[in-house]
Amino acid sequence: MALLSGGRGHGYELKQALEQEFGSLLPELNSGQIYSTLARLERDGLVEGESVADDNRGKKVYRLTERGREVLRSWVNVPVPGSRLKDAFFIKFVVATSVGLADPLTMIEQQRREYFQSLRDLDARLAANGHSPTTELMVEGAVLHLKADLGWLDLIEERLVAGGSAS
Amino acid sequence: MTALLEACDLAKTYDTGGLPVVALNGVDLTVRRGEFVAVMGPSGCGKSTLLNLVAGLDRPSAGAVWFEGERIDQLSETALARLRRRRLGFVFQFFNLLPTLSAEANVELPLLLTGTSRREARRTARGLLADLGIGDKGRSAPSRLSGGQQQRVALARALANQPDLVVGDEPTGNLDSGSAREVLGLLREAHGRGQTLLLATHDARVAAAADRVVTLRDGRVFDDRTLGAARPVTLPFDPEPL
Amino acid sequence: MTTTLVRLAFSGIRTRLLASALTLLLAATAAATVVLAVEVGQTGREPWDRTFAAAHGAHVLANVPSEKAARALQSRQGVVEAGAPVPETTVELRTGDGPEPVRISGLSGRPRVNAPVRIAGTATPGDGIVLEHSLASALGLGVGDRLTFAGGVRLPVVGTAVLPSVARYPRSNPGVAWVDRPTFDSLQPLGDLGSWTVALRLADPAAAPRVAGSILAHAPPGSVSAQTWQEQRSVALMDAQPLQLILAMYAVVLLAVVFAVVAILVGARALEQHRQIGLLKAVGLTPRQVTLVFVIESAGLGLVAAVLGFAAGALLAPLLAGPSSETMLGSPTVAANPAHLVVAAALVVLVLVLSTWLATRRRTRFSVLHALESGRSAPPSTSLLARLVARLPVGVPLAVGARTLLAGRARALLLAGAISLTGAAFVFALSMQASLDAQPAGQVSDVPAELPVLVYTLDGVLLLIAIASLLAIALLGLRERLRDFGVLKTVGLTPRQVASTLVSPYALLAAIASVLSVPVGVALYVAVYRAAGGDGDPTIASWTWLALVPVATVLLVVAATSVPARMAAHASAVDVLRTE
Repeated sequence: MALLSGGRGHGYELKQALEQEFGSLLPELNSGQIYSTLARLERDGLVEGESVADDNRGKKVYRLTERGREVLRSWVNVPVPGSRLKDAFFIKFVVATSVGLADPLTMIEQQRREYFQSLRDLDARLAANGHSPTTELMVEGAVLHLKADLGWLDLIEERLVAGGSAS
Repeated sequence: MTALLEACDLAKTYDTGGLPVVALNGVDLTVRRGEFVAVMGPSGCGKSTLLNLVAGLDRPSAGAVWFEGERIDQLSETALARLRRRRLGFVFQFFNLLPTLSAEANVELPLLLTGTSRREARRTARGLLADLGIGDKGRSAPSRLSGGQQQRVALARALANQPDLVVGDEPTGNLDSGSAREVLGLLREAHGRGQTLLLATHDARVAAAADRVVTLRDGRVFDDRTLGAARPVTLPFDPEPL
Repeated sequence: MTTTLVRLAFSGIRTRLLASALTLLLAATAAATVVLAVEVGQTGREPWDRTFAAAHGAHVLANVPSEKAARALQSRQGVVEAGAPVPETTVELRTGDGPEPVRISGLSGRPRVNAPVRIAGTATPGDGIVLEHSLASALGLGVGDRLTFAGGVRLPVVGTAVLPSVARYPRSNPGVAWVDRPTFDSLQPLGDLGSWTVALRLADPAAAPRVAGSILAHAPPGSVSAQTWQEQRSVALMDAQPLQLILAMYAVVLLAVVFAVVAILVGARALEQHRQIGLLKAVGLTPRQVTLVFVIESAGLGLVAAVLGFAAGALLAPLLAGPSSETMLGSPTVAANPAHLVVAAALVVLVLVLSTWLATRRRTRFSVLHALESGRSAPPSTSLLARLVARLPVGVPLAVGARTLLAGRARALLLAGAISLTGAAFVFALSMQASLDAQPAGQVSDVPAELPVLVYTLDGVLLLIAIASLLAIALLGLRERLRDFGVLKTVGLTPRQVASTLVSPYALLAAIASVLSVPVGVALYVAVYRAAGGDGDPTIASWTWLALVPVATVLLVVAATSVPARMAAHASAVDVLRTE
């Protein structure tokens, strides 16, 4: 839909544009997926297609509807939700320790080790030759999240030691 | 191969106004030549105390410290000073540059103390500052430099005499994230050239760069973990691949 | 607002008790010296008046060539009482050190006006001689001694006395003595024909100058002299003049030292309290008001010091003036003229206020950050002096310490000034001593005996002040640099080297300043000598003695600064670095 905001286009053109702009972000696309996505968007009333007269394969030219534009706009302008209360480790931790599957302190220490190692990995990746500013930002973001997560581990451990229940 | 630094059962109690504070309670530490060891722990766990003891800045209440096989915890202040001059370099959280000397002069100081000629010292100092990326700031007063720049001067001073061991107490603690990254990079480079490092830090990133992370808690060693080699990282997307 | 400022000022004094006490001591000493300088001339006033009353002194004392002229004056208009004319001449007294001229008067009975006032023995010569008291003291003569005069006349000393018209010997030369007429006639006059004095008392004492003037006008010029009682008194009091000169000089020196030391102390405090200053400014005080707080503090201390100094000076002045009152009856009294308190207070407070204002003006104007930087003024690399020091082949401690000292340029200059002045005072004393020693033996010096004592005492006081100030300033410097000392220890300076970074720059500063003190001290001495009426070139101390001053100064400075330096060296590096 973002691509269509620039104008109208054929399905084939869209596929090419997608590959060009966001190539490695997505797995290999096949034309079928493009068309089925377009059909679904049309069904939901976000794009509309027009048959082109002189095209004998029945390909349509697609463009955004008014509603489509609105949906696109809100996707861009509405901020991504901040609160991320879902954390894979925390779920595992709560479940495993409440049932008695593992020792909480050991779990925390193992996770901590993993985070440290990840930090190491990320810094090595940055140090390796050549990366774009965007990549650097991406990695720095991950580093900051890791530091925060490590801080959280310390907090969990602290509360645990102080006698509070982890669940 | 004997360890470069070996500390055995170190303990330190401070007597502050009648109430004794136990800072260390039996700590063992070994640092081998070429290692990069990070010491972590919550505040008050004794990181700084440990560093001060192994570097000869303070005397332990109990225990012993060997530096290259020589026992140092009983040496006189003068002998310790001589040891520090040649074999130890320090980097502090608050830089601790002498404010009335220029950046260059700060770096020259340890060189002059070990008898290097003035000219030679000047040359070495300039070279070090250039290596650390602040070659043009040599004549500036520390007060005119940013935090990151000051810490680089401090690092240059620490490395001036090519010490056996560089000790750092929260070297990135007072720096913004950008400067902290730069300084960490410089420390890593030094390590890459063979410099032995012992750093106390609460910055996980700094600790992650170390070969070994020793965690202190309540004056004791809680954990001593060695991190593995870096694993490859796949990025979700790479906008402009080179 | 004013009350707030005053309250802030007093809290400031309380928090820096030691520095305030030192300032108070310095200022009080300076004030005392000022008061002494002005009072010592006045303490003789009452005793003189007493002497004048006891002698039934002459409102006008005329000296004429003939007895006839003397009798003529007795019946002048305005004269209510006159003594009989008294012949005077100069004779030669033979003493162990050589001949001594003495001016003797031949008395026929006790004079009605201007009679000698008995101090010891009797005032009536009889067959002997009565010596003027200060003459007797100076020559070491007393009642019972036998004197031999030129011509072989021998007379016993029967007493000593004083006269309001005779000032202290040897400032007043030749000395004076009294014999009776027969003895007078038997003594061989020395050279001149002598003269006659007649003592006149007037109906209106205030008219004495007019009467004296008319006496002079009606006589051939040069043949007659007439001294009023006002003149007699001022001559008698002028004996204290050398003392006053010395005291004035020392007062100036002390005030200058006070200025320098207070500037340093206050400046250092302003630097240390930059955070408080920033806070005050955040609360709403303007920079000028913050400066005002410091100024009020100093002014307050100055006022207290002036009062203390006035009390001390007024009480000490009679003691100082004691010897010079040998010509008077009784001892000098405490003059305690309140006007002098105002003078002393004005001077002391002015010096303190000016010093404080200059020292804090810069520091309160800037923001907190700048206040930090202005304490370490110029970037070290561009300072010429610093570059000069960097070139010198000196050891590491001196190189490091010198840069630190030079960073506080104003302070270094002030300290150098204070050391120079103190050294100059000692050069002054040495030169004075040399001049005294250079006088031919036997000749009674016209430098009063108490003068050297005064100079040495003042020098002693100045020295104590200098040492106390130096210690205080060194301790200040120590406190400011405590963290630097820790850093130096981690870099690898031994404790002795660390101590040396404090001591050696001060020693160097002292060396330079004390070498300068020699010409300054000599110049001071020559100036005072000339002002005291000495002619020709005075003898100054020899080079060996003069060279002693810089050496002694450097040694003293090293000793004084070694105390805090030692403390610095042994402070644990850890205590110092583990901060903030």
